[in-house]
Amino acid sequence: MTAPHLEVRGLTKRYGHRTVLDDVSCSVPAGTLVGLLGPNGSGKTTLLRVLLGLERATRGEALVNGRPLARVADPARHVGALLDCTWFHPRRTGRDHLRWMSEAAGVRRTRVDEVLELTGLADHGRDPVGSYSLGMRQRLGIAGALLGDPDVLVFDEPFNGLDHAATRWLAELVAERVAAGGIVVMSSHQLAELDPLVDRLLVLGRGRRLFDGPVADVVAGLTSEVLVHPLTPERDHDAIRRAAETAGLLARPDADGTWTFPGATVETVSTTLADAAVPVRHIEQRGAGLSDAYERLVQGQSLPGTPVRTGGGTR
Amino acid sequence: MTGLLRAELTKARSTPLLVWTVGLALLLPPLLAALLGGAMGSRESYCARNSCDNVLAPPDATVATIGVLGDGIPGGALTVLTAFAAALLLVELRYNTLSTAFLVTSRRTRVAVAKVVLLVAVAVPVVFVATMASGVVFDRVAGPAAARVSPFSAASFDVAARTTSVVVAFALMAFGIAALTRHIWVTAAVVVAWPNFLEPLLPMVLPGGDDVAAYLPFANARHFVGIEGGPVTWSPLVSGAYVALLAVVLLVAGVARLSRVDLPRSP
Repeated sequence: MTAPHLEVRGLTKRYGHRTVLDDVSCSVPAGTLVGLLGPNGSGKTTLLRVLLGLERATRGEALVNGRPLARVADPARHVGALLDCTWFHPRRTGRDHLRWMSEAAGVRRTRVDEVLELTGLADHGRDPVGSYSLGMRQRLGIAGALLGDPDVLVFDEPFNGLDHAATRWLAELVAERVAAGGIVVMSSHQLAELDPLVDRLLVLGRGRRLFDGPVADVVAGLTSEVLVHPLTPERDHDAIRRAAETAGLLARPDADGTWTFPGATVETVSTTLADAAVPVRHIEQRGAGLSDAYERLVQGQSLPGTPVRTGGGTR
Repeated sequence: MTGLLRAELTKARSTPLLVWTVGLALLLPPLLAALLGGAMGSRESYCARNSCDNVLAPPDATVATIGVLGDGIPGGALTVLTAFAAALLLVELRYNTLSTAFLVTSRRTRVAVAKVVLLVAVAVPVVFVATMASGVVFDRVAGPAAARVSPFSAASFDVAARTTSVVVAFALMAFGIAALTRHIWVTAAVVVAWPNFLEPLLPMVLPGGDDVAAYLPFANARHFVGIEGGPVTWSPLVSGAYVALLAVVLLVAGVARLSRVDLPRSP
């Protein structure tokens, strides 16, 4: 069996005169967990729907293992997808939902019980989906995606409604898949959940690719900052401001009395404040994370040292 | 294809739609036949005692179709099965079940064909049994008014077979219309309004009404079954072929749209 591979080439999707995806290209090798990010209306879901063969591209192509999924006879064995946790008939039981999916996909029936067990729904398989909580529906959607035991998983907002334990379970699941050489594409607005998982980002904005590359490339280009909690914030407010000015440091007071020193190091800040005799309760270096990188990307700011190209061609 | 057929059966069995469809399609026609038979039997008995001026001729075997096809406007089984045909598709659009199906199989035409096979497999036995049961009920209830009705004669079997094929044809038309419009209210408007209002009215409001009526689907369907009264000039077999042709055209157009035009994201 060859290693899985996703490839999007010059993908453009228009609805009438409205361009939803504009010449988007990317390539995802095996063993990668891709975070697909972008503001609402940036084209994330459209990209996933075209990739999954639910919609036809106006121009370009999306390939799974070298072929458009719409031309693959057994797509469930190649790609498993959770696009929306409302895609269930409320009167149908979870087990029956998975059963018809397995029959249509040509997957052995015993797999239904396996994925119910895997997603923690074995005790609720005979309940109608209408009685499921949001988190249980998410897990049922994930169970459906796992039916064909595919190499590629595509999840759109998979963390919605999941409790802490289920979130951790999903994180472990996708990490295992990626470690085994699979590909996972996750679109989510919950960056805190994605941050420790993804090793590659594809960021869209207004249908165009804003960034495609390793997360490390984005974060490395961002400066970190130092956060200071003074012991007596009100009394030392002016002293901190003067000390920062004298040392040539940028300093920003926050509403809760803390101070942020962008681009500084703990050593510099602590020395400066010690020289000014400002007592400090706590001081910490805060590194830039996925959230910081994402915010800057979607604001159209280019990041030094990263392959960001905003506007124009996206190849 | 076998897997898709099993999947359609699992889907149909796992919601109340199939049970309601079969139950209503089997119960309504005999009920209507019983009501009609009771009324005709009472009139026959009254006239036997009071020598009525306008004696009605007893009905033939086509009386069994009254609860199935209706008389001028659709009867119970036809309405229920056309609604079932449309619901097979529209309920799946409503809950994105069709999109899920397209995620696990790329053969969209086969998904549609599997639904059509299920529809025919349900409609044929149900309509045939409902028609035969209607004949039996009428025979039992109508008394002397059922003089020309012999439920298990060759004529009754012929009427039941033709009635079944007509209902299946209209169910396929409804499926095709649902696939073309993909909208519950538009489909309901066509499926309900056409036979109930438009077809009876069109010959009256359009110039050359009888000429128009000769091409109307329900008029031809009734002619094919043997129910007299319409202005159709073709032979019954040509009328049947005409209805079948309409069904095939709508069905093929609907399946083609389903296979080639992307599903709406938020139905």
